[in-house]
Amino acid sequence: MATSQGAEVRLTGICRSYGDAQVVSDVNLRASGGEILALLGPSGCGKTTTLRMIAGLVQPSAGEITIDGASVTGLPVHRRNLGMLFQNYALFPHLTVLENVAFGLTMRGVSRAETARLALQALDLVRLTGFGDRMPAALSGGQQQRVAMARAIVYRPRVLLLDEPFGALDKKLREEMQIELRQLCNELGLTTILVTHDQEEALVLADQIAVMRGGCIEQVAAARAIYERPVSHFVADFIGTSNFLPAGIVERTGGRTVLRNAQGLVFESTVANDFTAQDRVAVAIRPESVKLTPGVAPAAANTLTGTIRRSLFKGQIISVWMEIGEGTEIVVSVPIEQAGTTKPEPGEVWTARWSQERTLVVREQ
Amino acid sequence: MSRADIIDVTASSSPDLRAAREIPEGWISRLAGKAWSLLSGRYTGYLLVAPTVLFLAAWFLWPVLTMVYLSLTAHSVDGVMVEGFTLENYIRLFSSDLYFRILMRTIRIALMTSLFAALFAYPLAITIARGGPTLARLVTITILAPLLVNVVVRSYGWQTILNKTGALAWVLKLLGVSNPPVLLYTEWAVLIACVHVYLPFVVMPLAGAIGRIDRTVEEAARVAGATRFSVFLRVIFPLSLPGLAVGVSLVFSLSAAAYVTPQILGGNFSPLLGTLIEQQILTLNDWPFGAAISTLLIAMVLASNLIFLKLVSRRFARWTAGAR
Repeated sequence: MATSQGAEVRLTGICRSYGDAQVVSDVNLRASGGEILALLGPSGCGKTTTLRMIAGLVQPSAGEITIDGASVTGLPVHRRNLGMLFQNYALFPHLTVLENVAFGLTMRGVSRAETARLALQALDLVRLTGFGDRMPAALSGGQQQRVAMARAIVYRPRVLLLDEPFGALDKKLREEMQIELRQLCNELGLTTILVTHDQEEALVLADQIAVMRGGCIEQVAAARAIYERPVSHFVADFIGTSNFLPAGIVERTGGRTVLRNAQGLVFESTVANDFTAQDRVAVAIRPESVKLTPGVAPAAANTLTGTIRRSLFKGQIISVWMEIGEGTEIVVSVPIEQAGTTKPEPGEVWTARWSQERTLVVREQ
Repeated sequence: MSRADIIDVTASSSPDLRAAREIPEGWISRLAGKAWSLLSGRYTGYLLVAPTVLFLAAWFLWPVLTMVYLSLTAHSVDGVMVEGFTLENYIRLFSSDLYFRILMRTIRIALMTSLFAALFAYPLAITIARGGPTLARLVTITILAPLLVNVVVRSYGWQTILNKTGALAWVLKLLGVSNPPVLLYTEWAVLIACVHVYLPFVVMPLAGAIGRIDRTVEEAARVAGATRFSVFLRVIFPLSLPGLAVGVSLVFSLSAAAYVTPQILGGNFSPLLGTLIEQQILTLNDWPFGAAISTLLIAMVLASNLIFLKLVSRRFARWTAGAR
């Protein structure tokens, strides 16, 4: 199948309310051609409603959606030329696999011979050659979602919409499908918008991630940037895990920000966003950014001394909880190969250190 | 009393309680135990359906068999039963032009009722299955309402609407139709009344079937480029066939066997099989011939139901193939 240049999708001031409940409020998004954009957030954050508004299955209360610059806000679903994958696959149970795949082509009035040719080609593309005569009920979950994929891409949609597409699959199969989907989207140059609550899925699949919360966009950034420079407590907490230490900004010089918390501990960061001294912020430290050394160390920036409380073996890492003040604990990930000789034991006093580049500064709620 | 006391009291009295609950030895308890083990064992299913099966065997199956037996006997002109079996009644039924016409009319009315009921049922069933809860309830009550009215009352009601000076003629005249057709005592009157009362028998199973269709399947069809009409034709209709089959075979059976409605609204010019049976048995006292017509009616209804359900279940089995 020839590579088609994906369309650009733009959402401007999109709102949706049901009665008094504002489900989506003032969402502005842009997915450029061929890009995979993930809408990530906990359930009820409005991500699925946003996707359904792009599909036309839900009408926005306000705002505009454009695809390649042309407004589709008033366009009925069947004329938007989109492809969509659902969590429960939503195959037509009364049609064979081939008939399922051919559905969109039949609807577009493509000739019988051409329909058969394109549908078989699409089945090849999702590695289901020879499955055409089966009924959907005779396929496994992964195979069914591949059929759904073939059905969605066969008529070369302008945009592919994915609604928690792999939520019903087990972990191993999900990872396989994610890699496959990513390859397929890149091959076809399809603009893809993915809805997920699984941060890992968003990180693996997406070029851009939009984190949503309570109907609003919290942050939009490239997958890596959103992990390395989250703007808020919510984003830092939702993507990966973080230790949060509320602190105030003391000084900003050049690229360096100095913060101090209530206990007088000093933090220095070179990756802080543009906050001012008036902003309520916290220092966020990823468990894997921290290095532990035994014993007490002299007071310095980005250094904490505390007592080990407990540790938990998790396979590749050991999670260690360290009490650093009254009732305040931080969690540190110790790679298993480093923990071989000197493993922090409960009751011991250790020092935690991390670099300025790993000191995230996030907005507090 | 403290919490510990309460626990203490129960603990000390529990052996006595257990002793009191123990079932005394004896044949009654042994029998009860046996009955219970039967009930909870592999015969549970049989035991649960047994009362109904026995009831139907005694009050339905046996009379039907008697009727079939009766249809194979004959009586002489003076009304005395003749010994031995004969197919004479059936030969008479099929050789007479009059009886054959009545048979054909019955099948025609039953088929037309099924067809019209199915046509009207779809919008109603979709509303019940997919509309808001208030609207769904309103539609359900409205279509079930005719069943609450006695069949004779209902039929006379239709009579006052459909007769020469009835409500329908009046409305048509008001709309400028100079010579409004009189529907009473025609097949149309029977058809209208049958569709009216048997509609819920299609709507309810159909609404159930449509309600079971996954909404995302419809959405997937729409995103893939199907108009709402195409979605109905290619998704909702085929997936609702099991419900339609149940509904249509119910309506076909009920309208083929209808007696009061065609009697009151069809008059003597268009009798159906039911009227014919009544004439033979109550007026002419020819029980064997009446039994033959009844047997034919039952066979006809049974055959049409079996064929219809078989067709659909074969299709349906394909959709779920491999899932089991």
